[in-house]
Amino acid sequence: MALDTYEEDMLRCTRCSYCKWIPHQVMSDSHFLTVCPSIDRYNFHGWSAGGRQIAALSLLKGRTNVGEKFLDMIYQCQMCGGCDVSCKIERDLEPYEVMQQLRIMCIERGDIIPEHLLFIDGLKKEDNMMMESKEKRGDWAEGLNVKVLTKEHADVLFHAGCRYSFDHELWSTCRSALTILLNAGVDIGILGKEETCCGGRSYEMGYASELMKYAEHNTDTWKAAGVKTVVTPCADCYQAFKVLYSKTGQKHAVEVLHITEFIDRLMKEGKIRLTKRVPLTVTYHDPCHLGRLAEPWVHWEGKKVKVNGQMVVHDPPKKKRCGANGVYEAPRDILRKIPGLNFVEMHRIREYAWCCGAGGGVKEAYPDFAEWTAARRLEEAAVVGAKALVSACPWCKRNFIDATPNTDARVEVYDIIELVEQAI
Amino acid sequence: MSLSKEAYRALEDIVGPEYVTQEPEILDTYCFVWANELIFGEKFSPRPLAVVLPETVEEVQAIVRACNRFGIRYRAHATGFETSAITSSEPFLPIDMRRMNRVVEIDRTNRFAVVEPYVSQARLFLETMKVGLRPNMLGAGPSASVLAGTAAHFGSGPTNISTDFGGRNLLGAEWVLPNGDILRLGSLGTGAGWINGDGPGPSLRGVLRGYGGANGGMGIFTKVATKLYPWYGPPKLQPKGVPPTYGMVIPENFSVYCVILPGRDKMNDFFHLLIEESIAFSIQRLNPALGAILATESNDELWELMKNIPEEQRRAPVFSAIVLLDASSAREMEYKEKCFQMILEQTDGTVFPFDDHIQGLLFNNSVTGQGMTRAAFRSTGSFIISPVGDEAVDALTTLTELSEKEIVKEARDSGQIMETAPEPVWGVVYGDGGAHVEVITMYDPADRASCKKTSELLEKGDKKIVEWGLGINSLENALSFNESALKAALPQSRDFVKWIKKIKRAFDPNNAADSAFYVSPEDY
Repeated sequence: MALDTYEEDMLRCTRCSYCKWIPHQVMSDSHFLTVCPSIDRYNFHGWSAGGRQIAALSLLKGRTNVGEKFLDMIYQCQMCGGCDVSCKIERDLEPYEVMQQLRIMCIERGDIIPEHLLFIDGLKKEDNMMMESKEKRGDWAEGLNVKVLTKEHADVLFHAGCRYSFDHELWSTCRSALTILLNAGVDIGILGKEETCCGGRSYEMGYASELMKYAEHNTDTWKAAGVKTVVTPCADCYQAFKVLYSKTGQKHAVEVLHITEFIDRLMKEGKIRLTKRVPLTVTYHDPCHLGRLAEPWVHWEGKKVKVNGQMVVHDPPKKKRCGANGVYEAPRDILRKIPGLNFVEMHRIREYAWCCGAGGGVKEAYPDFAEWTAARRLEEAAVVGAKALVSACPWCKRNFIDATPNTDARVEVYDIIELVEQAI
Repeated sequence: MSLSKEAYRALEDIVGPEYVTQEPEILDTYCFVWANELIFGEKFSPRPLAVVLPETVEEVQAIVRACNRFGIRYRAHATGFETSAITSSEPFLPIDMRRMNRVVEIDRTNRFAVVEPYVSQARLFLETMKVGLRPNMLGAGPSASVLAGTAAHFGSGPTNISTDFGGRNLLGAEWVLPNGDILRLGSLGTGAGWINGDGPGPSLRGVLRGYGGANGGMGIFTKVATKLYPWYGPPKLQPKGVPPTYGMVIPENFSVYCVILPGRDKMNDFFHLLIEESIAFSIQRLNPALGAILATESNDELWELMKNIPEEQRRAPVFSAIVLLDASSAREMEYKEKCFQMILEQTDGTVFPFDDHIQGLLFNNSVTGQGMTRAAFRSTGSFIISPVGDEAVDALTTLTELSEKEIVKEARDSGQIMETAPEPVWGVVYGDGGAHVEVITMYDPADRASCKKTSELLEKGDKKIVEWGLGINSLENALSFNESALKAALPQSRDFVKWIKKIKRAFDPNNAADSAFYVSPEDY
């Protein structure tokens, strides 16, 4: 769907600014009412979903050109999707899709953020978003007794993702994740240096063709390996496999699971038991790509028609994606079952969670903004009394760690895998 | 009008370069707002000269003084939701107040709150609930600015029966006059605090806002005190369910009803009796279809429900109201319920049987104004209110009857606006017997024919309301662009117009405060 197919949505935006706040029904503390890091940090209306609808229309109408400031306005945004949830409480519009298509249009026109281009060049050459050599991709698993699925067969593929594969500080978490599954008796393997990027982060930057490329490549690889399930500890990869591949029309018969879903399932089957006490007060940060952005894609073909005079409906009716059908319970179920652990919720959770700040190409192009956003989240965690903030995505963890010096909030940062490991 | 380099540098010096811009791509996001297409034939009004975001009253004062010095017209806005917040017929300087967002004070004993412009009513309500109080709630919904609805704009809303409308809630105000002087209104002006808008100190509420609000045409308010009222609910409301149809748990000692009355006269009696008995937290004249709109996730789902209702039933006239009762105890609730039942008996009213979920949605709507934007905007993309009246209850039901016959029916039959039951209105009543009613027209802003028909309807509303002797259209000025409604009402209102223009000239000698939705200084 090209940007101009959303022109009527842009015309029907009324600048209500609901996209700047969490839904009003779920507001619980006046210090944590907003959902959009972009408008909170940069203030001008253009740095909101509503503003970007206007900017897109202005561009389509030839009123403005894409210059440096325009690109900042479009790209100083994590594409976290909080705005989309809030807008859809009141309206039948697609602000997130407009922002995504606007980025794709910018790339197609050659209007590129130089910092992103470095990562995209790296991706094209090395199949990862970390500007690292693909030869080193499997190094994180060195010494683990695990099948490599280019040579052997297993039912389950463990896909580490770019961040876990190359961020040495996070390797132990990734190794723990795989070890937990191996110890639970799962027939699981990895692709080692043959693993590639999911394509999700490049898509968010507007590089649609890269997503297509990796969607085809990865689904072909899964088919060739004969796996039934792909499990990943990375929320970005999970969303790409589950939602974006579906969006591109890439069909596959593989079950895609996030590590939290898989661990939760294994716990319910009695294959993982959490028995050791972890005496810690923690809160859980919903990664956007595991939460609201992980809601399954809705395939729909038809047209918009008017009934009852001017009422706009889809023919046939279309199910609205509102963010409620992400993965919210599995990580919470796990945390609640860890002995001795005191689990407290923050004020902005689930579909209206505040973003960690790392998505949408922000970590790559605007690292200060990424860390500013993460610092706000750490402060929220501290306010509800948490001693530790737990997430389920390596991009979140990396960004929270990087942001720690930028805030007075003294909160430890964990991935949920680390707590599971401690509790086994 | 243009902005010189010197003027821009002056603005930069005041707020810092991060908080002022002249970039065209950013400015375009400040000349786009709902209903622009009815005024300009397209979504964009003239591009502003620049946009500036002050943080303190001192910065606001310096900006206003710079505007006077350099001959720049300015207007402040909070969330920028209303057409009257942002649109103008010529380039001006929008002053975006989002950085002034503090709840300065909540005085529990004297029941008032002091807020800056960007404090939303949802936020103030969250804060005041904790101490057993609540503010007036605007129909514009939870994101609306408390300050705007109190000092600068009309401020009608569901709770007006128990709180009165925005203007009646204004106590002290910190007011940067159009020329840059700072005036502290009421008791604030004598250092006696925010307690009384009329003094000791300058009593200028009529000048500051009059009845309808000056919509930015009389300078900038940087802080206001607004009255608070008892809140008998819990310190925090309890949501339930998932988006987009989150429900709400109705607390103890609250009851919500959708009442159907057998006719216009009985509806008038119903409102009068509720005013007389002072038992309601909120009253809104609304069609029960609101329940279906709030309970459905999309137009698609709503239409799946609607299309199975026979057309004659969908288009049958309905006289109805959503009423919320509240009480401080079970005993008081018992009394209010009995009283309410007696009113129903006297007016032959019946209660529409909504289920618990929809009652929760109606409760939320009645308490916070949530859902009005969905009801108004979702179906077609946009709406307008015209005619709009502020009069006695009976006069306003006459207004809606005449509007239906002489304006709306023809537009509806044309197919260019949303088909609804006759008299599509939203109305509220005040504790003193007055009322406010808005005839709602939903149109598609992406459809030129729909916009054209709606513009015609708006123009007709300006003329007809005068012809009927029912006041001036859009007294709240939300859509009275360039004095269109005032001009239509001139034969009856020449004195009123003359005086507000005199006031404008006296307070704004350089005509610096943009008056696109108020009055120009020039006499007709």
